Amino acid sequence: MKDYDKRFSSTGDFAEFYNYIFDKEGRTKANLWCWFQVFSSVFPFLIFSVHWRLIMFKNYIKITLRNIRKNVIHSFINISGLSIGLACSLIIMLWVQHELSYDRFHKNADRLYRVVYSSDDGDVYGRYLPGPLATYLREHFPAINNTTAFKSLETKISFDKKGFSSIGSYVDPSFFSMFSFPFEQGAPKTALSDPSSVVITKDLAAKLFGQDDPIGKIVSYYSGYSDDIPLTVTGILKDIPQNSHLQFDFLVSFEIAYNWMKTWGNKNVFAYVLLEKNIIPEEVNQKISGVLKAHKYDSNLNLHLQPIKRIHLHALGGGGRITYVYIFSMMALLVLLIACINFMNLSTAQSEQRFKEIGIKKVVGSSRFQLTIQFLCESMILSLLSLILAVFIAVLFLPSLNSMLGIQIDFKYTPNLFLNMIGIALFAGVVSGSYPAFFLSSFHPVPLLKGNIPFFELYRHKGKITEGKSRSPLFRKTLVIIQFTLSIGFIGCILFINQQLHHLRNKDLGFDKENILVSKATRGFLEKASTIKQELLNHPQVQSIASSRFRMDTWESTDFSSAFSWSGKNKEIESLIGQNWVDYDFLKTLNLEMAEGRFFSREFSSDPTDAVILNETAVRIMEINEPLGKEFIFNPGSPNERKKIIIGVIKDYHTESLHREIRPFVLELGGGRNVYIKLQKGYIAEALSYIESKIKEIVPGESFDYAFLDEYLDRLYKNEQLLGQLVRYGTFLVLFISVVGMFSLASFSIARRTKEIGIRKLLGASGSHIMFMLTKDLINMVFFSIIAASPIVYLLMKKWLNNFAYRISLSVWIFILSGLMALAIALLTVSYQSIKAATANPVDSLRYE
Amino acid sequence: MQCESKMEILTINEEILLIVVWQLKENAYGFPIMKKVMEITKKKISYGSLYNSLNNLARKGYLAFCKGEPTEVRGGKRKVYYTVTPQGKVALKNAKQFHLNLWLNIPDLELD
Repeated sequence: MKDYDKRFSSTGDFAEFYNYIFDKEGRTKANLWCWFQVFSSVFPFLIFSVHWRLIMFKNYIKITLRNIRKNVIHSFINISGLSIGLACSLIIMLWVQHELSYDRFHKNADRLYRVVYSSDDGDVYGRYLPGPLATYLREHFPAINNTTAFKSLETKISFDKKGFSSIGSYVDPSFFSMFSFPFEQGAPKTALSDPSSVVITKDLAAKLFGQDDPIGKIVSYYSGYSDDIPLTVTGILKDIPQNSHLQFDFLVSFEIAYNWMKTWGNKNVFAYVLLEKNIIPEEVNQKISGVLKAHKYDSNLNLHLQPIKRIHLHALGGGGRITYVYIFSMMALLVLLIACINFMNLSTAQSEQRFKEIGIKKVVGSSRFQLTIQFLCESMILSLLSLILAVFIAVLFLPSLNSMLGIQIDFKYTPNLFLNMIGIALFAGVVSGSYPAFFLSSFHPVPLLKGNIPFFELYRHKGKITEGKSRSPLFRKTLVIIQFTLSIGFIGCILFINQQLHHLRNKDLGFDKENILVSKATRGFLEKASTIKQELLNHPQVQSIASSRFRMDTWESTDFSSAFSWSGKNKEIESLIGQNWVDYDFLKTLNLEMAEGRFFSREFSSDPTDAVILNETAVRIMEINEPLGKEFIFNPGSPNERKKIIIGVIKDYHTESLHREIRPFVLELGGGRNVYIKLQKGYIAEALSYIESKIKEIVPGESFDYAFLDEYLDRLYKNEQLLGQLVRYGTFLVLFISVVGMFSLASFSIARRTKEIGIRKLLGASGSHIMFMLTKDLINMVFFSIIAASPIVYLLMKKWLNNFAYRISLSVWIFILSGLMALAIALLTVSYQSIKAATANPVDSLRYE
Repeated sequence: MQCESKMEILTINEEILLIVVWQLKENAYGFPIMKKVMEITKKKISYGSLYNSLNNLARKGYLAFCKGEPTEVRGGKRKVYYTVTPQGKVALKNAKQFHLNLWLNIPDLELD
């Protein structure tokens, strides 16, 4: 009879007995009896199922600790490798958590959207929109609860002659009812309803007012073009959370923004909307998509909504930081995998020392399952130990990592994180312990105890360990090959990434980027521009000064539209044309070259009004033959139509990152607030101090902030550099863990072959012969790994390089180089032990019995 | 003294159970057995221990069991009926003999 039948029958008896007591002594007694029976069976159950297991577990811990003590070095390698892997994944987990937490702290985060646009073909996209759009959306679409404009500006806020350059924004009063930035003082609802009020952060308030109560104080706000505007402080914000994509020191009303920002003709302002509850954004998308077209005569741009939670991670055209989140998570996993492989290899290699233990246990009656559990417990104990070490490593290295990578993550303890960590550690323990556990427990006890265990090699397997089957050599070879493949993959990737980064940095952009100082002119600066220019040029190390409205590396904020026409226009062009306003010295300062015609010149009085210069790409796309002297019309057919003459074609230069091809643009005369000062090479410090002192002299009280042009250009590749750096660390870690693992594995295998080597030498094998014998398999495996790694590296890098319009080609020699590097590292690692083994006196190795 | 058989001496609990099962005849399943045991011993016994002892006896070959038909009263659960095997009967007889022998030379319990 089956067991469950008995169990059923006993419950039946139980019911009958219950009824019996129920009839005789009533419900209460019966219930009491029932509960008594239940409770009285709990204790024996505990004893049988838990107590004994605990005792066994205690034994496992004891054996584990003894093993650690017995093989200190190998255990150290095991634990340190695993803890580095764990620390790595812990740090990346923290980073990922930080990245995913962006903009989620808003109460309405699910209903908040940013309005963005894209062209019909999806080729062009952006987030800068006309200023009045926010108000228009709020008034015309019932599905939209509220909207706000958001226009960042950098300006000076001063109080009592103390001024600080700060980053702020023009926003609508509705801003605070949409976003949940917590207030320290003041009422969110009414904070900005008066246009002459300002809300500042705690940080700025402390800088401006010190200990004083800031509310009601009047600060002067420096607007750039007109006089300073006095503003009353009506609210103090707590510091803006780091995981917000909106960052600002102060907020002012959009009312006081420049008038040009409030026109439909200008795209310069963000628009955020808060939808009503239970509205599907796609429906709103359909309704609002045509709004721009309706307001701008010929625009082909559609509006749609972008969830605020996606802004940080997902770039508009696809990709974005989320790619890095994936890449780094993947990397953490790989480092962990390599550490696990180490663990597996070492424990199996170490297992010979434990054959006796396993044999005895089996003879005494331990089942295979119990042995498996024992080894799994051991690896989990080790991985938990590693976890403790990993937390220390992570806490120790986080600050330096933060500063090195320019990211900001801190170690915040949350229960969630704790559970995740334990989970990962146990997972690593199970993964790395499973193979040794199943492998070791599969042996037949008799040969184990007889002691005639045949050769147990590192990479090769002769004879049988068990009477049954054992696929250990193949499996372990595979593991080692995986390890090598990953190492070679990492080396290859980092070589390619470095090469591409080098390429990005050193590609000829069409203009000089060295020794050029870039500064954003303030109002005081602009008022005395000509004096300053004269004074500065007096210094021998200042070679020339120029200005433009948009900085050399920014295309995005360029005001573009397809509203152009030219004589001989025979087709509509899809591409957008960028515009920039530059002054006479622009060409000379940045060392640009003309392809045809001439640059703007002071000798032609008509240049400021009539002249326009195109770049080569523009001429090519517009298909103008002999462009010089042809008419070029801005906004044809509209009241503000401007007709200009093409006076020259400038050679193509890059105005944005090398991710994109050069796009067409036109230059007009005008200049702007971005000032370029070309300094003589080698005299930078001198010239800088001169410039600073002169500016202080001419416009006292103005701050002079500057950076070098190449710094701005480097910033275009911030993400790529971050990737490069992290892959570099990843490579280092992977190599370190594999090398350490390989070292200890080799020491095991060679120790096991001491006698063989001794006999071989005795029979006449030379030292080099033995070296070759010991490393032959290793070399084979490296070659295998090169073959396995190359296509992976090729595909990955091809995909990554596709992000760039200007990229390196994937040359074969890098694959070979990375393979050779891996081979060299592997040989170096095992060379110490193999040389020692090969040169040893055979007498010593043979005599020890 | 020489052992007559290799059979172990029954413990008092086993003896009680065997006797009860034998007495109950066709009706020997969990609940009546338990009731009877409690009548005899005048003690409450724990539910689980009964089944353990019954199973032990079955393993030793003193008891056999078979399934009954499910009934309404027991919530559709089958009864498991126990019967004493010939081996069990021998064991009981031996036990009785053992007790008789044990008491043979002690005529009176009213010891001074």
